[in-house]
Amino acid sequence: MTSRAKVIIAIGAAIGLMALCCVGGTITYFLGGLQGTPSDPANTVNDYLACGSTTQVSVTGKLPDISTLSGEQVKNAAIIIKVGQDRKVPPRGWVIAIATALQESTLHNYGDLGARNDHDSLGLFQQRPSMGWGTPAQIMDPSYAAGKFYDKLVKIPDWETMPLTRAAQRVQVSAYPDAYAKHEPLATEIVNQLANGAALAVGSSTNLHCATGTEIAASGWTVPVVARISSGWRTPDRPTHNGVDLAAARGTPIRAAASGIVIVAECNAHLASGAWYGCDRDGSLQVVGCGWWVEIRHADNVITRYCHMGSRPDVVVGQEVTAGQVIGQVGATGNVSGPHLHFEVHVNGDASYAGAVDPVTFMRQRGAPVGVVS
Amino acid sequence: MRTLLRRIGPRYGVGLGLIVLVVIVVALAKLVGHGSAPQLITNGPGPTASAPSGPPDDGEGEAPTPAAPSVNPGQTGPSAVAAKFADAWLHHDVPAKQWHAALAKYATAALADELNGADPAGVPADRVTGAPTQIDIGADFVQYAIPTDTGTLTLSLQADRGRWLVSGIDWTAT
Repeated sequence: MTSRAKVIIAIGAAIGLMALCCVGGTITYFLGGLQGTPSDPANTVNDYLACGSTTQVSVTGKLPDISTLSGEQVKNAAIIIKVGQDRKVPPRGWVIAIATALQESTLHNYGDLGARNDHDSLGLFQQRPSMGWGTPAQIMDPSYAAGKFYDKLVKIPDWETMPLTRAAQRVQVSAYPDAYAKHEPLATEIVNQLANGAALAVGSSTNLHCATGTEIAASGWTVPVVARISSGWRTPDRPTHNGVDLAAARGTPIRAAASGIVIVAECNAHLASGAWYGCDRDGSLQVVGCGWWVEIRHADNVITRYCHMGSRPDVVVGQEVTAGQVIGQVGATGNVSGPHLHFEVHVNGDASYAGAVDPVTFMRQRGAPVGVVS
Repeated sequence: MRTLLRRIGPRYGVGLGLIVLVVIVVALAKLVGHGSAPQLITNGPGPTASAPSGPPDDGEGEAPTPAAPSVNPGQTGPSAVAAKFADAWLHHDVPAKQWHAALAKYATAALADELNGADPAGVPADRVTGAPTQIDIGADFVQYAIPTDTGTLTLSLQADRGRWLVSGIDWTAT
């Protein structure tokens, strides 16, 4: 082989390697484009491809690890979901049933606990034979117990839209009616993990679809308005923008994102000098504040905030609201350049900067993605 | 350069040039296309956005200081109502009707309705063991966490024209 031929082969090999590298990079580039928004690694557990499926939940074999639950607890949750599926109860009912069992028994099929027992209460839902729930043997069968819970639940008018703890209390008639609310987030995660994201869905178990528009997902969450996002959460340009701006037209009804208690409903608008500006007229970029605004405290110490309403909110402090209930109208009061809804989500009961989370991620995980206009 | 081209010949030179071109095009597309890929949401400030940068933040950056619970002259304040309600709730060794009537005096109509049919035997504690903690306050809404012998009783209270009533009961066992 001549030295010229050697050089040609070497260059050819180099070109071949470059081509491989380049093609690989190109494929990665194009596939990368299909993935859309990068997922937040801290929250991947809550991102599901589907909003439920028609496949029956398996109650045998390998079940997923969920939070800190034991295998027995996960299996009991799977049984509760399967009974709901068999009875064609919508997934909102599965979430309510699992939250109830978390409160009553932490998903353990308790027998008589002796001195610690509350009278003759037994099983996942702590049902009492003396109150007509069934024989002790029946109640200790998780499928029977879940069936009796669903029997009563689906007879309650509006059970699908009322706050979870209200629906659960109507069935259980507990001495502490608000106790079920705090279990809603974990119950939602359990249903999503065992039933392929079904807590993000609406519809019956034979006709599940992802919640769209103003529909309320089985998680109990819905979008406040259907509109595109005109300014995102803590962008490089606006690092202290603690919410998303939703570009809805003036007068669009604003809906409570989930059930809860109104903790703020007032006007907040003054000038940089500190002088009061008020909310009886449109604001501007020279005005500081939220304008007419509302804050709602939800289960598990989540707080949502709604700013710049066009007129006095439709709700008052202390009022209990249901998911999707209209709380006011889109307007342009406070610090704005035009009508929109400024929407914030805070966790851990912390209404300050430190408690704010990205509403896009938070709402997507609950099956109520903001900023989606179909 | 000329020496190099002569050695590898015009055909390979063109090939090499093409590959360099592809690399440049892909790199440019990646840089330029990054922000303009089709997305469901847009992050740029639109025509209806608030101030595009910095303060004043339209989102109330910090929580406003909540107002203290308001009490009308001659009315019982929320902490006293909570204490009376907690005593009545814990005094559960009585007939259901009597227990319910004692609670209803300090409860909203909605809560009294929710407790209809509840069995006082289901109350899991017997006595208060410490001072209540105020959790959440406002002019018309307040919560107290009350320690008991077996767990924490959390009462929500709201004011209706100055009259404080218990609107919610939560329980967490210890």
